[in-house]
Amino acid sequence: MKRILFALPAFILFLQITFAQTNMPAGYHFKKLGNGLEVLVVEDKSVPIATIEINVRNGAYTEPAEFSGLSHFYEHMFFKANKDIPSQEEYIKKTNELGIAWNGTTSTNRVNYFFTLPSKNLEDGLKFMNSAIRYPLFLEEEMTNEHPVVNGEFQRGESNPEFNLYYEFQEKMWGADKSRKIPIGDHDVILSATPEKMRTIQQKYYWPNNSLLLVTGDVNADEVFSRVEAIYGDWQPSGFDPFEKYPIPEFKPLKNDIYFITTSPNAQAPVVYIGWHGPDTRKDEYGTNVADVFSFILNLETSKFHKDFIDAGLATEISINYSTDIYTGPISIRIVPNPKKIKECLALLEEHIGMWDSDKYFTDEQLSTAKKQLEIQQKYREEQTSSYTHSLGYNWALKDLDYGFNYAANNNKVTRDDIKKYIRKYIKGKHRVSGLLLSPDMQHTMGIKKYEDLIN
Amino acid sequence: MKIKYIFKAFIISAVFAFISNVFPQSTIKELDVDGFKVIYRSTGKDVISARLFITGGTANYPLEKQGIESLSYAYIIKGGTESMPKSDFLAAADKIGTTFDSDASLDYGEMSMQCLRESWDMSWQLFTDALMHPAYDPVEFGNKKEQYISYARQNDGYPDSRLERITMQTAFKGKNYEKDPYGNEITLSSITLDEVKEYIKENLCKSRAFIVITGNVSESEITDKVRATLSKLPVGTPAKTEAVTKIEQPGQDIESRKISTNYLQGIMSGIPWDSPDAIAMMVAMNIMYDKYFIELRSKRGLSYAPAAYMNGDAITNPFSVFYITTDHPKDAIQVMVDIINNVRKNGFSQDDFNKSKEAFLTRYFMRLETASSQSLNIGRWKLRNNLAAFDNFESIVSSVTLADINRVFSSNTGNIKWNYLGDDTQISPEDFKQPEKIGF
Repeated sequence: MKRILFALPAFILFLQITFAQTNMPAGYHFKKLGNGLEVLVVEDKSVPIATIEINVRNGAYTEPAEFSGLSHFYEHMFFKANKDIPSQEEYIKKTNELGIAWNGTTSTNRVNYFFTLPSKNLEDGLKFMNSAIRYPLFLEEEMTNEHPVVNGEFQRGESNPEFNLYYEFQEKMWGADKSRKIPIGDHDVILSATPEKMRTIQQKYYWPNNSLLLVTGDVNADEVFSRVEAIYGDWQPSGFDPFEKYPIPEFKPLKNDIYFITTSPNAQAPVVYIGWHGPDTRKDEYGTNVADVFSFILNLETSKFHKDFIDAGLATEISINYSTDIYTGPISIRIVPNPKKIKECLALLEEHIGMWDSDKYFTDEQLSTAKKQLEIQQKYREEQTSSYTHSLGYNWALKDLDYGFNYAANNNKVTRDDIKKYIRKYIKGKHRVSGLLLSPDMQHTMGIKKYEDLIN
Repeated sequence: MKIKYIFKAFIISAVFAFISNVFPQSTIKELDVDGFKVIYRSTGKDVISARLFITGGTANYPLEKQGIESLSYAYIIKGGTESMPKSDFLAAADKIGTTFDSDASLDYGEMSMQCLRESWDMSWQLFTDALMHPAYDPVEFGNKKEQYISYARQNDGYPDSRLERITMQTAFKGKNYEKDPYGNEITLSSITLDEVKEYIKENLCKSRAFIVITGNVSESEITDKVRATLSKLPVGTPAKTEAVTKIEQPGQDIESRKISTNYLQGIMSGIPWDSPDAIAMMVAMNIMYDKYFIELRSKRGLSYAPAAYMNGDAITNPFSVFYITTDHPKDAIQVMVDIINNVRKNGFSQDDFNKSKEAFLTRYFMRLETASSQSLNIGRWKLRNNLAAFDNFESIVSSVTLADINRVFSSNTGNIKWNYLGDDTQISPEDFKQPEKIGF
């Protein structure tokens, strides 16, 4: 009886403001609350758990230099005191009480927070999430304790030999706007983070009309919508579009080719990064699909790219990646060259890049295999609802839910001509950044003074 | 090759398995198909996982050939077959989206296949052809070997990987666990194609291998397929066994490395996996994980990544781990050991215990969502000689008492072997001696 009474007003509301996303798969349900909060429910009853996830359009791309790393710092503060929970210790006790496995991530394009819990505790979980997303306290003492914690996460990254190459590569690729591509941020900014800065982020981005709530797993969509409306319905919207009020600057194009060598005493093998500025979801959405299909073809173990470098013994690892971003996604190559054949390897790479837009570089069968594979890989990801929830949220942040729902169909449209245009628009003859990681010993033994020595 | 230990906090690495009573699913079934052991579980989902386990792991090769198992399996599983060159083989798999993988661990090696139901027949054919009739192409072997040498070198540069290595080398010196399943530059360089052929011949046999299949498949389909393929493997001989090695002396080893922060871990012998106390120990370490998180991270800001867990891969010699990365190793080790000592002395609280079980089970359920994670968990419980625990995990966890976890924790934390990697001027051997100071 209780359930019927509960569901009726929700059904009326549902009629008023629910609308279908164009290509939403079966078992998916969408609703936008009056305050602008988008809600996606995915039913999967294979195991008795549910995942509650909030995505916010925040992340490195929203960070000027003086906020570098603070979207991530904010993410840490989410799991601390709020108006209903006095401290992180109590927060963790509450997660245990509700059987919650929890975490959050911060990337270039979004911040997300997620709880996976027994489905019987869904309502309590939704309330718990509501307190954390809407009412964080940013207590001075908790922030002070968190400075070395967040910085410690940075230091763990720095302790890996390839970090120096990654970091310097970002600096060279993005220049003065590097903070907008490095989610881990800057040591000094992290260590001086204040509650005021947290509130600034909150007031800019933490609004229902800038967020997506996902509820997935062993749930009933109608019940979820009713509960969400009751719990989140009074979350006040911003009254402004955060990205109109606080516009994100465009990245400046590379003005020339940049080469550099960086060293790390713990590097055990040379590593090469090469990068170009690629498409993004605002200015060339279809280009992001073309980029993914092209990268997939090259990364097939049967590709010419793979065979000519790996099977020929010029490198032990080679891959090309396009990272879909809202603002200028990077196209990058990573190579672990055979130390004795670096010059040969880089010379061949130039030959290959020259052929990327030719008809002979890949077969029609490889093009069709790549498209099919991208579709099948999505099916594999969908199998694990708790983690697939993160992908759904990420695609929403990149553009909207339809971007994800239409992803496979758009990949299937990609033609050989589209790939040629993509190569010519973003790669061939375009400025690039090339970096090489060596240990000081390797650099000395190999007699390499500068990167250009390897390509001239 | 998997580069290990790149993990986000809050995720405990031990894996658990059981079937929910609330959501009944078909239980696992063991088959003997002409002498070849098969375990299967029908999931009703369209993704199918087939995972071949080979028992023995580090017991199957000498120290000077460490790495041979990971190299051999990686080489044959994607190296083509007698009738299909590598490129044709991989193209056929790519076309249907079937993936192959391999790994080597302390007590077992594995080769696995994941496919969609619609490609099951073709995928099985490719998988078993690669296992039973590998191409053994010498050029491909040379390339794969170079790749593995490069991985081994790079792994050495990663602090977590290096910390794990020195931990195993010092805690299990002279024993099988001293060996690195991924090998090193010297041992991998010494491995020949003939040795790989011999290794495959000796280990891919009915006495050492079994397969776990999960997905939307029937018993009769599996029986027919196994009968036509894997049942034809030779009987062979069982893997050699080694007496259990217990960590009986506390101690510490410090290795200097110039890195941005310091890495520290302590290991202690665990409880045999076929004992009910093993699951009690998992629960205890789960509570310790939260205690470390609150005391070391939340309250004191000493670390981003404190952790405590029971290693899920160590079967012959089970062990548990305390772990941290920190700028303040003296303070961190003091707090870590104080917490251990306090629990040993006063026990876990009823409140800690009551609240810990549900989140523990949630994490387990998250690992049951895919066919692939199910096949891995089922195989591990089989290797642990406790397959029933997969079916009964929830009830076993429910039956664990506060007295159980206090007893197992107290009796298994007396001898902790610590390893440290980082700035050696920030720590001294004395810093690790707190347990002795209070008389344990």
